[in-house]
Amino acid sequence: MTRTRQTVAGVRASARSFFRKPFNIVLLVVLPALSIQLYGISLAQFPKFEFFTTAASLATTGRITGAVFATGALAGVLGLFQIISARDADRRLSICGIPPRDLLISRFATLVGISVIIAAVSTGTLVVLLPDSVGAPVFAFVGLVLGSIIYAMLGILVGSVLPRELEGSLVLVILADMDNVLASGIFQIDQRITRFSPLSYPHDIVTQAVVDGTFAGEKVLPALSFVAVFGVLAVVTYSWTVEPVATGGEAA
Amino acid sequence: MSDRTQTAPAGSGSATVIRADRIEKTYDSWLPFTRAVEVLDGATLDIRAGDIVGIMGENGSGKSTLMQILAGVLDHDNGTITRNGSIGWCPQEPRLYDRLTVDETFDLFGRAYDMTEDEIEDAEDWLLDELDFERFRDRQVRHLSGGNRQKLNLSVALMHEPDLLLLDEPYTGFDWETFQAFWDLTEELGDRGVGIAIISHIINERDRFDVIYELHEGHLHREVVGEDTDTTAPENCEDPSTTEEGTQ
Repeated sequence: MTRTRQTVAGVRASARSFFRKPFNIVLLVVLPALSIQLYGISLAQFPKFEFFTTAASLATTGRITGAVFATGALAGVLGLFQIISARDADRRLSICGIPPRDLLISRFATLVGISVIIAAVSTGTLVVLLPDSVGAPVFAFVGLVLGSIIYAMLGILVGSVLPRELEGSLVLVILADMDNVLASGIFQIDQRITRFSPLSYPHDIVTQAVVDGTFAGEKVLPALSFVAVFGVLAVVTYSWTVEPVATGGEAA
Repeated sequence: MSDRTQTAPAGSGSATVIRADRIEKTYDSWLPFTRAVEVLDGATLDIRAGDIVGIMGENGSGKSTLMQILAGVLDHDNGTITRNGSIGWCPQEPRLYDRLTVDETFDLFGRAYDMTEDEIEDAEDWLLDELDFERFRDRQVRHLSGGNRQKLNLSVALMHEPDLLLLDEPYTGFDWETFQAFWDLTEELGDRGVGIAIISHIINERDRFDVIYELHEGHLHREVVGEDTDTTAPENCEDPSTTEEGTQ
């Protein structure tokens, strides 16, 4: 009962902190649209060379790649900001009596909620901006949710290890960019390398949903493996940074 | 992290609410061309129920480090901390959520202390009235003035009526009326048996304290206000509730 009350209070505090920042809302609306259009327009300029092995036209592939990048980078950066901005207050809460694991559960729950919203905005934007119709928007949404959660976990991890907004967001954006190039499928890159690209699985799910209207179910497990690995690392590092030496919050 | 915590049998009473014995703390760095900074070197302190204790020392002497070690925020390298009862910690910088209102902050920390809704409401009403910031209860923390933010910071430490209060320069930004209200409240809490440790720079306040610890070169020098005694180690306490030792 106590744990539930505390976790609910933690989720409510995190969600309020997030949605009361206008900058977060602006990023949420603007970044997917900007990224999808820029990637789409940029790739559409390329002539179709032999080494481009995309399942759809370059303009469509570009927009899918833009959606996956925007979703991953946005979730990662917002996860990072959540952890850094609440770090000191979380530490004080843990001294007052909320165990770090419960604080982390409330952070995870908030970030999963935010990830779903990011994926929904990206899916909606993709549907509106793609020249062709999206075969199965729901499957595309599932793929983007997975990409979003993978990077949200990575955001917590980076925020715990490198608690600085500028440096941390640079690391995440550069990682997401490199990851996205590997995941895009535009270039023929050895699969032994691309299988270590976290975004490649969400990207494949979204591409198949958009182009064929089917669900790439075999990509879900590898994507969830990345969620699990980054999630465990995030738990360990976050707990290490927030865990108090002793708690003094016992009520009188 | 600390290597050991001991719990004494239930019912073991003691007037000591916290005792720090020969605490050592050095800030190490793994970066090249940086040097380790030794902050505490055998610091010993004892706070009893009802004591109002001042911790003084020059800038950078390690007062905040000592207080964080006492509160359990920071680990120490060597020595023993013995805590007996609940603690309220008011850090120098308010560690609060900027986007929550005053009401929401009381609710969040009240739940962290495992207080009931009624207890939280009563504590909030009491502290808003006592420190006179009732009219700001709907305002987000980031929109509060420095003084009001500090009142909230102090309130969060006080709201669960702890046995020991650890206050790191708690009145920064207070106006004169609030400063007086703070000391009235402190004396009232002291009379109720709450042990209170306050980091202070204001030399004129010395008479308000029962005991003053001067932190100098890693050591604590104890002075009982109104007496000439000056000892570096207070007498031993008995029957500790919780004992925590350093790691090295």
